[in-house]
Amino acid sequence: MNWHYIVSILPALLSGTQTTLIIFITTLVLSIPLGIVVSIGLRSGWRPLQWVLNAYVWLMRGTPLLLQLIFIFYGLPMVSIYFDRMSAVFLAFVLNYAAYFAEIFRGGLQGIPQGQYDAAKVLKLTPLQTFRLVVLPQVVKSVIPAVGNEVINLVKDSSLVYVLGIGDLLRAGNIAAARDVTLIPLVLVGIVYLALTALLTWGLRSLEKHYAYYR
Amino acid sequence: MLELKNINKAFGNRVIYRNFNLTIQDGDTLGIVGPSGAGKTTLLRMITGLEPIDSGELLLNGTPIDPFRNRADAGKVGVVFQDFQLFPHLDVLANVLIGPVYAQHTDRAAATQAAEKLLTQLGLADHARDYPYQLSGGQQQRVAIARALALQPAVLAYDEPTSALDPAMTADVAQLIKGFARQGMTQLIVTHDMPFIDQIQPRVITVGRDDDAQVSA
Repeated sequence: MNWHYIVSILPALLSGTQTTLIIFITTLVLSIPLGIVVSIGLRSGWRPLQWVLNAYVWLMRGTPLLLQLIFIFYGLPMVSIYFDRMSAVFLAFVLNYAAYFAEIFRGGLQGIPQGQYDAAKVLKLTPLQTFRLVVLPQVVKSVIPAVGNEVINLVKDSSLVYVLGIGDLLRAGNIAAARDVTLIPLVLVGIVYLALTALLTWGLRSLEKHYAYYR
Repeated sequence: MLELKNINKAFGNRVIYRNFNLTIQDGDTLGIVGPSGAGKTTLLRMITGLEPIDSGELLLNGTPIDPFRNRADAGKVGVVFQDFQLFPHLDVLANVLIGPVYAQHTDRAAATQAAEKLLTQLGLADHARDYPYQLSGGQQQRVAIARALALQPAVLAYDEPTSALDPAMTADVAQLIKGFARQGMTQLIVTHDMPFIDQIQPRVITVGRDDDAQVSA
C-alpha cells in the first residue's frame, strides 16, 4: 500500500466528500418538509390540487433522476430558464426526493386511524394542533424505516451530479484514478461511501430506538 | 340540560332520524340501547360534533350549540370511545392534559394538578407516567374517561363502553358510572349490552333497526 499516494489524493477526496455532504444535507433538509406538505395536499380532498400533485409525484418517480438533472440544467435554458450547476442539482434532488418522501408520508398518514382525529376533535384541538401533537409524532415513528432507505439512497444518488461536471466524491476519485492509472482512489471512494452509510444506519437505528418507547 | 329538537339525519336514501326529539336533564343517566346498525352511535356522533346533523337543533341549557361546525362548542359533550382512542405516543398524564393545556389554554401547573386529582379519583395515580400500551383495557378506559372529564364537559357520553372489556371489568365500569350518577354527572350510554344496562339501571330509550326512522323519545 502506497501511503504517500493515499495522503496525496486525500485533499481532493475530502473536497469531493464535502460537496457530496452539502448535496445530501441540503436535499434532506428541504425535501422532507416539502414531502410532508405534498402528502398533506395529496390527502386534502381538493381534486385539482390532488391531480397536480399526483402528476408531480408520477413524473418524479417515473423518470430517472439523472434525466431530471440533465433536463433542468440543459433543457430548461431552451425556454429561457437558467440555473447554475449547484442550483440545478438542488432543484432536481429536492423535487425528486420530495416526491418519494410524499408517498412515504402519505402512507404514514393513511395509517393513522380516523378515531385519533375524532378524539382530537372532541378534545377541541385545532386541525394544526391535531397534526402537530397527535398525527405527526405517530407518522414519524411509522415512516422511519422507509425514510431511512431513501436517506441511504440519497447518499449514493448524489454521485449522479457528475453529469453536470460537479466535483463530488466519486468524480474526485474518478479523476485521480484516470490520471494515475490506479484503482486505489476508487477503493477509497467506496470506503468513504460505506462509512457515510454506516453512520447514517447507526443514526436511523438510534432514531428507531428512541421511538420504541410506545407501541 | 341537553335537548335534541326535530333532528333529521340520513345517509343517502337511508333515513336514520326523522324529527327526533330527546331531552337529557342535568344529572340524568340515559341509556340508548338497540341492535347494531340502529343509529345509536350516529346519535352520539351528532351530539358530540363528529357527524353533521341534516336539520334540527341541539340545545345545551337552552342555548343552541353546533359542535360539528363550531370548535368552541366541541368538548361540551365529552366522549369515551368504544376503543378508547388514547394517543399512544403520550403517557397517561399527557393524554389527560392535552385538551386543557392546548385547547383550553389552562395553565399547565393548574391543569396538571387537576389531572392528577382526576387520575387519583379513577385509581390511576400510579399510572400517570405509563403509556397506554402498558395498561389493561379497563385502565385504558379510565384514562379515556379522565381525558374527557378534564375538559369539564356538561355531559359525558360512552360509546359501547363494555365492548372491549371482560365481565369483571364490565362490572367495574358499571360501578364507576353509577358513582358518577350519584355525584350528579349527566351521562349518556350508547350500548347494545342489556345486562350492563341492567347493572346501571338508567332511564333507557330504545332505537330500532327497521326501515322506520327513529321518531320519538
